[in-house]
Amino acid sequence: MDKPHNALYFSRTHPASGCPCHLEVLPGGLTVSVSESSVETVPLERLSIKSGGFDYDHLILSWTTDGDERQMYVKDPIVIASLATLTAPEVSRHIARSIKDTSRARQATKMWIWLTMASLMAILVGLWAASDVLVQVAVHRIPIEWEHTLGESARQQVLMGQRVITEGPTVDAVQNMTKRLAGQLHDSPYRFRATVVRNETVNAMALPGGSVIVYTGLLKQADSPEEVAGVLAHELSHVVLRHGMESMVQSAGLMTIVMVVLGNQQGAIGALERLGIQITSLKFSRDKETAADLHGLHLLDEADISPAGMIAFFERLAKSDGMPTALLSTHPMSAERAARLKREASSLPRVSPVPLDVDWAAVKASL
Amino acid sequence: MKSEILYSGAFPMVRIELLAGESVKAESGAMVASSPTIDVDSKMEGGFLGALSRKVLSGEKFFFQTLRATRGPGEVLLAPTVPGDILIFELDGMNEYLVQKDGFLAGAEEIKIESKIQSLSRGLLGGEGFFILKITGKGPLALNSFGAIHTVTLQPDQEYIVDNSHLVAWTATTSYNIEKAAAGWIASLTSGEGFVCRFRGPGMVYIQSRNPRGFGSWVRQFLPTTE
Repeated sequence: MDKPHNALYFSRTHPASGCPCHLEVLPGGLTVSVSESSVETVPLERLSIKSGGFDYDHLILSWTTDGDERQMYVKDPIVIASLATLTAPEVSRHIARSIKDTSRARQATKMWIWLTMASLMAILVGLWAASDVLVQVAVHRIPIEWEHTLGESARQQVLMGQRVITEGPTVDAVQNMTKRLAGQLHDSPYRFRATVVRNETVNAMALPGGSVIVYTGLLKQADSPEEVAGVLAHELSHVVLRHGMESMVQSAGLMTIVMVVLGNQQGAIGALERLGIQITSLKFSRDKETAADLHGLHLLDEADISPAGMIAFFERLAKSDGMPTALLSTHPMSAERAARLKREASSLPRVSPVPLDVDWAAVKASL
Repeated sequence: MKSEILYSGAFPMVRIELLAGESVKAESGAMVASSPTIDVDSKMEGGFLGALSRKVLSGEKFFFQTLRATRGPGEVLLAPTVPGDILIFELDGMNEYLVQKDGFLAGAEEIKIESKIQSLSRGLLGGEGFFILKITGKGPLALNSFGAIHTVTLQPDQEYIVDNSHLVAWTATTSYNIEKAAAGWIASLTSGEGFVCRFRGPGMVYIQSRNPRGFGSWVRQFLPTTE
């Protein structure tokens, strides 16, 4: 029976792909059996040994017989181990070095993989960390005109199927408050416009470009016009700080950001417009809410409206259970946030507020 | 298992006859036709992670298909995507073959296919990318090329130079270095050869008579450009 193959044998008289053969390592030398009739014995001292193969996991044994160079590629660990024990010390050292070379080559490959993965991770982490900055840069590249276009398409989508109230004390009151607040935003490129919708949900939202939508549910829940003005101030601040745009760009993904940054703005506007419907459910980060709170507070102060209404309304909303408060789900009220607002309000210079020019009783009666 | 190449030349096909119970592993999408006794089974070679690494790393297909003669003997016809030769040979169980990522067409079920990372210089300049396939085991293997396949046999220490984009496969007993095609950088780049691989025997190198990348850029000039 043929002995199992454990090495590849090369010589000029054999095929270039090598002959699978059986190699035996004996104290006197190697016995190479290519076939039953072709057995060659090579004394160990005639061998030269080096490592090779794609993964450096082969030992290459070379020798010369009758002027013809022969080579043997060995990967079998048993053969390699017996070679190491039987050969002369310097050859053993060579094998040990080859084995070390192999493991070094493997380690180098492994290290390279790890390095690649680590750099990829670093790039991802870097992008993630820089994403806020990237978003802001992208949003800065968006012209105000586009915000108006986007806001208008978002407004139409939000109002679709809603009952819009076009006149009456409620509309007058909300528009009056919006005007008074917007009057403080000098140099603002936005056109602020308030729309009242008959809907029992406690909700109000500001869309990019300056459209503000107030639900009657919110007005019902408010105890004073200052409370409504507080919510409006907060929402207008989101517009001025371009939070809606930033959230849209964030949802639209990095590609949109890249497109906007690189100037392919036509593609970006399409992508953002398709996302317009989601603007109602866009949640702002805690940082953005705080920023809008603080900006809103100062806006109220500048418009001589008491900031107490804003704090009281959000606090009461947080305590109420079982009410359809969409506002709360997008503006979570924490004790921390309320405390921050109170602290900021107390630091404002005390001026006597000017009452809002609103017929609050008529507003309540019309709801 | 018996196999034969039909329509040898630019548009060949492999016909594999399977006895009942025999199976063959093929590149996903390579099957052209089969007897009704053959069942197609998709398999993630090397398990999920192995398949994922092969897909992500070498760009090879995530799944290989296994064609098995479960319901009696039958035949399958397999063909590669690109026009070009098919080469069938037996793996002897000792030789390890390194194959560029699009080169594998089919093989015996017993052969093993792994993704391998090349060194930085070979990956960047070798023309086959960083990841290649290492195919080992015993049984028939079918490789495909773009253009005709030419086999180069190298005796121990014999050297041969191959343009890197013409490589299909080589045995692991050969070693190779990437080098500039000409002595100077300018001549290397302007000669259109860029980098070449210097192979040293013993072993086999399989090369393709056409360069897919070169063909791609030749075709590109005829494509209408869009605004």
